[in-house]
Amino acid sequence: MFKKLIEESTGKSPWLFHINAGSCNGCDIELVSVLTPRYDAERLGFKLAGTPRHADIVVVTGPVTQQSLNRVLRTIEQVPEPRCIVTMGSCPQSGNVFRGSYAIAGPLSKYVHVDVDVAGCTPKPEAVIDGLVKATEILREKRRAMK
Amino acid sequence: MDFPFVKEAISSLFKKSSCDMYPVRPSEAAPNYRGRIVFHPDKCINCMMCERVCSGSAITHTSEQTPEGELVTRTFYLGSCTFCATCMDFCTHGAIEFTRDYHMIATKEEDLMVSGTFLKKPPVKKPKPAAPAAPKAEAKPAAPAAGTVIKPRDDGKPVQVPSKCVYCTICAKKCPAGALEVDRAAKTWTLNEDECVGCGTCAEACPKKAILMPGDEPVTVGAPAAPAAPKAEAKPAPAAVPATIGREDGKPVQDPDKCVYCTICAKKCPAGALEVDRAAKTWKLDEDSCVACGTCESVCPKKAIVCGVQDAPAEAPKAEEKPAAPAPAEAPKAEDKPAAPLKPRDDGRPLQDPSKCVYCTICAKKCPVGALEVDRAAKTWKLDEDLCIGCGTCAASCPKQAILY
Repeated sequence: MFKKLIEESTGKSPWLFHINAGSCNGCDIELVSVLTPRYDAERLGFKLAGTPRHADIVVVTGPVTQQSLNRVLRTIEQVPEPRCIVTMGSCPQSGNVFRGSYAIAGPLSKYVHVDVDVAGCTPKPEAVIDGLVKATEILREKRRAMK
Repeated sequence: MDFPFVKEAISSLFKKSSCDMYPVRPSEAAPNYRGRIVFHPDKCINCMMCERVCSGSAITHTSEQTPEGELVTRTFYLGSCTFCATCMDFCTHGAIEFTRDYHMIATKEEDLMVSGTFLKKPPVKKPKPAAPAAPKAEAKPAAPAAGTVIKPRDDGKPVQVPSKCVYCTICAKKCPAGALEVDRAAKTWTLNEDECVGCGTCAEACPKKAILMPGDEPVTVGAPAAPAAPKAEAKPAPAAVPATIGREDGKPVQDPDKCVYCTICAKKCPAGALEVDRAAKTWKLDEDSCVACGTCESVCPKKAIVCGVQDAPAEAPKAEEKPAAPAPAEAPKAEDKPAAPLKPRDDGRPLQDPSKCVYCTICAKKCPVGALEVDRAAKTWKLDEDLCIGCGTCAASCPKQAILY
């Protein structure tokens, strides 16, 4: 009975873990504004987790630099299944203006399966909320599939 | 004990939420927000400018040869776009549009692709070879064949009007596709049909309006049999006598009465077509080098050069009165001292008013030909009569109005 209750509540309140993989900080600031009172994603159940081991959704910003690649992958591996990876902004999706640089190892999809792309440079907070809602749906399906 | 926050907390309970309530209440982006790109393939001319200026390499294209022409598909990958709108700014035909749609959520990469396909028709090689090929060859030896009509092409590419073209190469420099090759010396204007994207930049850049784009009025070339005649007469005979002065081909004509042989025109001529000898008082135009750009006319301090046909209304009588002036130009050199009682000299050269002059040397510095020597310490003001061209710059620059002109 408790198990069912826990499953219900985790499905409604996915926790986020944010990884900065060499971002210019534009997307990081927007993500913070999503979680703070103006847009208040917490009313939809999203909560920033302190460690990847508590998280359900991983939000990656930045073009994934050579320096950060190993750390990004290790962090993502620590997130328990089912997990959902969301890329925020154009950088993790393609490298954006940093594409072709010697310091860039991205795009992220070369290394892990990316579930949701939120395009924009940076995306509007509303778009980020849309992306997170989409990630929650995917998460729910994944959880169902795991049973 | 004081609980200031209790009051605040209770009053906040009844306040409206400061939250935007986004998914419940939809929100619209700001008026000039740059969101999802909309591409209008029907307007695109495939000039590739957008691809070149895109900092994120988000714009790509594929092309396919079909019997009707080139089938071009241009793709915008929003996942690599910085939404800087530089592509939109550079698009000469407004084929790229940024909307206020910010909902760019994708689970697959294809969801972030915006693309459009259009057919680029091959160039119709009809009017062009007929027009420029013939007059180009004939232009120099004789007047262009009278009555030749140069029409704009229907495939959107430029057509040169050889009679107007001065081969200044500006169009070639401005062409974003590098499709134009202009040789000033050989007087050739060559369009690379494959490179040309028909953007019209060349026509806009042309200072002589010698390039026709679709929608322009056809130009009738020919009729001016005049160029040949004034060419020969221009030098020996003063041009100010008829009602109109100047040549129809836009090349310069000197007015010997006004000309002071200062050589400024020769120095400024971009084609090096002018040869002016101050000592011998000769002004020679190299007909072949001259591109009729009009630079000499604009730089002449004495307005002694006319480019193109102009009416000579008020100038004509003046020119008739003046002829007396150039003749005594040599004579007053010796007798200009007696004329000193502060009357401007009649040879057009400046005269110093020692009572006003403060020997600031500004006039000497401004003199374009270095004809003035002013020594502040020794309080001397010397004019080199031979160098002075009588342009009046010294008088205009004098802060004390101490130069009579």
